Amino acid sequence: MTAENNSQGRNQTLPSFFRRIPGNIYAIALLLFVFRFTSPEFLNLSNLLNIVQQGSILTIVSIGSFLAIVSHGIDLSLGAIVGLAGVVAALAMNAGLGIGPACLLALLAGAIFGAVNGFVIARTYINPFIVTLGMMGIGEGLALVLAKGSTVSAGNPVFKLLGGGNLGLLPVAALISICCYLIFRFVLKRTALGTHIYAIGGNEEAAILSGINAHRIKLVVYSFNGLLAGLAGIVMASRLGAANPSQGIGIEFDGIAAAVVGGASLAGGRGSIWGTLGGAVIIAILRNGLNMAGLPMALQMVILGLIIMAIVTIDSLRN
Amino acid sequence: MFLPLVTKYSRVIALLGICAVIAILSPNFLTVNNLTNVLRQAAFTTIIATGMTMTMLIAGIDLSVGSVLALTTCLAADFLRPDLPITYMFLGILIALGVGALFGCLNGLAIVYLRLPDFLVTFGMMQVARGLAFLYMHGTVVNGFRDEFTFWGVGRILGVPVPILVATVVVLLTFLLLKYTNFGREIYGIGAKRSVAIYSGLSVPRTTILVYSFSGFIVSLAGLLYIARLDAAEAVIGEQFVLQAIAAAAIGGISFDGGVGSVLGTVVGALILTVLANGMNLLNISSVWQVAVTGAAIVIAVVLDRWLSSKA
Repeated sequence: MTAENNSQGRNQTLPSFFRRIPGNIYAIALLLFVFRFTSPEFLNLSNLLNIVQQGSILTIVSIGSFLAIVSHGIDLSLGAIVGLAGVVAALAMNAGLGIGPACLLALLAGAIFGAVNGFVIARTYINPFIVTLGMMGIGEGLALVLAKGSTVSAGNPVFKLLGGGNLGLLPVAALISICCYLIFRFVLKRTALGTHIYAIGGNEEAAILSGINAHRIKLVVYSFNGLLAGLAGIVMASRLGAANPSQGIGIEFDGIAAAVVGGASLAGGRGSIWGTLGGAVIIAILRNGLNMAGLPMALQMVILGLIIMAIVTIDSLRN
Repeated sequence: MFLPLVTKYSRVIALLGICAVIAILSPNFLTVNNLTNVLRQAAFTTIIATGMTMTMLIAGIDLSVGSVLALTTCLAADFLRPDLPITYMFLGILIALGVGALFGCLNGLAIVYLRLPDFLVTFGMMQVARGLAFLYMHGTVVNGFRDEFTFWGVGRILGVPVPILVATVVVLLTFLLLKYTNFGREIYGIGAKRSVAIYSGLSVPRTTILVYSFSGFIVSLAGLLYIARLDAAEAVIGEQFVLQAIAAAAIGGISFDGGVGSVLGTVVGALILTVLANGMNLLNISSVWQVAVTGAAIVIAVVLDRWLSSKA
């Protein structure tokens, strides 16, 4: 199954690429069409770029959700790490560190956090749901403690370019996100590590019997997740010009929804990273479109919850 | 011979140990007033956590508890005003409990018949219920309930605060239900091995739907006691209860893979969480630490639990 996916990946041509994720593309087209009527400015270039910029953070986090799900796990701590990393980066800059070192520190914090997740999950075989839920509490709490319960400013104009700047027409955040997708697409399809991640997600016992070091793979997966969430946290703090310790709360569920909408199976071992990107874009468009339509925030929450459940239902019934 | 005993009562030992440390550090801990306060706070978490225990025993989870609590109490709030006849109060209570059970039932139906993962369904429901609560309240706060209602939150019977009594009754009933009825045995059976449960003729759909309905019902009961204590209802309340209820159950030894644990363990878990919060309060540790401590308590508890059971 995994090998088959891989060989398909190697010979992939553009038409087959479109055939493999038609559902997402159609859903995106439909959403664009519908929102065009609910709000006339929706298809304006400035709004589309806005969607791309807002969506970049979710698309980065979604890779983490996807990796955890493919390895037959789940990562609920991503949102907490987004908050924590943003606070770490902002505090480090306020303490006089340069942008580069501050961002590295934030990424390191995220990676260490993820590594702890991976270590506990791999060593104890405790359900990843409860481990990462506990770590979510720890991360949210640490972010609050570091930020002393309030928002930390991060007004450095160069730092703000990461999340708010444009390179030509393309937002820098989107560029970062695309790079992440290309890197992880390469890792998943072209390296042994990628094959092993699919393998332990599909059938962990068989994978271990065939000589795969499941401990190491899980450690690596959750560390990657921490790193990605850390990156998303930096981008988010940069976009807002400030780090709010609770800035990432709930984004892990959007990420999980993106992966599942994109065709990843929660039973592990199945799903594609491009599908996840499509899922994340759908959710980003939904959030923006409902907002642009001028609906009250509460109604947006209700509709978004129902639509995501509907898409996931259709997907699960189709399979 | 010694180790199995430690394993069995590890949570009680941990609770006593934490109490001892706090009592040494703060002279105000072991006062009747403070301990009553701890028990009263633990009562709300305990009641919600009994519902969470049931869902976790069938290897599920209910993330919608905080939002359903907010929605049901907001719906009831208008009926509880002192200028209305007392029949309205009963109507309000019925509405809250009924809507709670209904939302739980919807969770169960979606999980069973749409074959969706439990945490995604209940997370979606969390958004929907919270959104509906906001839509219903329009940012307002309803406060000032009639005395017969607030009694359930602030009153005492024979010197014991009412929420503690209600929590005791709920826990006892749940304990008996799980231990001595067929329904209870079905819950453990489904949690332990779903496929075997199906083949041995247990009705997994029926039990699942009933368990989630119970969770919704019990959450709105806790919510009613909670707003009776606050003497106010608004759309934002209850968010903290999700993590606390899961933490109480997890610390109490309810396995996340289902089928293992007792509701009495959950009570000890809720007490550990509340004592920790109370101790931090007495020792003047900022409340921003509380979420981190709850998270750490979950991780430490499940890891220790796994370690101890591998030794035994």
